[in-house]
Amino acid sequence: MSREQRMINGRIVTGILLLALVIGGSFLSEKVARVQGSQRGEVVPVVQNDITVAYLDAGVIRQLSIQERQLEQNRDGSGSDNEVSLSFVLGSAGLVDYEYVQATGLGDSGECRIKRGEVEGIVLYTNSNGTLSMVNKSGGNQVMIKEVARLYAAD
Amino acid sequence: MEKLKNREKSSGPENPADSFIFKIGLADVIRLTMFGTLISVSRFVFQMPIGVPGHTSVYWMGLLMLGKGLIPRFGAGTIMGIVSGILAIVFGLGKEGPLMAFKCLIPGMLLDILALIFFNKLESIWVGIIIGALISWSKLLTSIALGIILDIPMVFLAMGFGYATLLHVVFGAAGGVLAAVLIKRLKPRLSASWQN
Repeated sequence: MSREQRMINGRIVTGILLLALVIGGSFLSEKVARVQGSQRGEVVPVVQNDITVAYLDAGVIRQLSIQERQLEQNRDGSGSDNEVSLSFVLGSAGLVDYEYVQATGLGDSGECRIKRGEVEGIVLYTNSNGTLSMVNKSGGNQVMIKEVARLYAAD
Repeated sequence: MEKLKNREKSSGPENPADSFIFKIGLADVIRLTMFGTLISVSRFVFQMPIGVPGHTSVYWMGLLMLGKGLIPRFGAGTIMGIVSGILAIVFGLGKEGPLMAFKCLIPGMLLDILALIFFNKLESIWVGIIIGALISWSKLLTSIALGIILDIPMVFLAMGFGYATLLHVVFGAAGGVLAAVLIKRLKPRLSASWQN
């Protein structure tokens, strides 16, 4: 085996280790970002039957907002990039069969339980600090939870 | 006699066509432009609505590595990146606008560096896997950087950065394997005719 071939073999082994590190590091950094984001309220887990079905953050809300407005373009087309209806969020997370939704606020900022029939008119807003707030639009834009930490859908 | 002298002159080392850009001859630059064009065209011809992030890496990175493998000159990846980036802007591919060029340029530049590290042995399957996976991942990182700079929604991150990385690495590696197989078969056949 020539010296060049030995060097290539060594670099191939290093490359494979680097790839393993890249994949492992990506999953690890994602997990760390999720834990830290959940603590700061920037990442909101959507839970059903103690299983996390989706994660929400300001970027996801913005994306869902664009999709919702595109769907409703023929109806009114109103709204901003920073708000999306709770029913659309839950539907996007695959939650259609639930009895009520329990939203928990960050720290001591409250908790509320919303029945399935009451979900319409409630929206999620993205705050300037990357957290999400829950607002009742049909109730005069009343802020229900200033910084949402968790959404729990119960059967 | 005069004609012969002129012919000798045109093929001399001082001929500008022999060192057109990055010390690569005009003929090779034209071939690399062809590969760059193929990359951009393949992106909308073969794009599948399967919603799996990184699946374009199979032919994107495959063609990039094929071009570099057949024209093993330093700067070949960068030239293909520049050409495919300009064409991507012209074709209106991606949400990043003119900055989309960086998404094409960065993998090309990284390919030049990685090929140098592996002594241009792109016909090796393992080298293909490693380089394909790494340049595909660099595309993902560039997308994230552009998404943060331009504040555009990054749909692929909705399913998780780890998952997006894994898919980019797998599809990039697949492209690298395809390129390695093609380089192994095509290089001996083309090396004679692609000398100049």
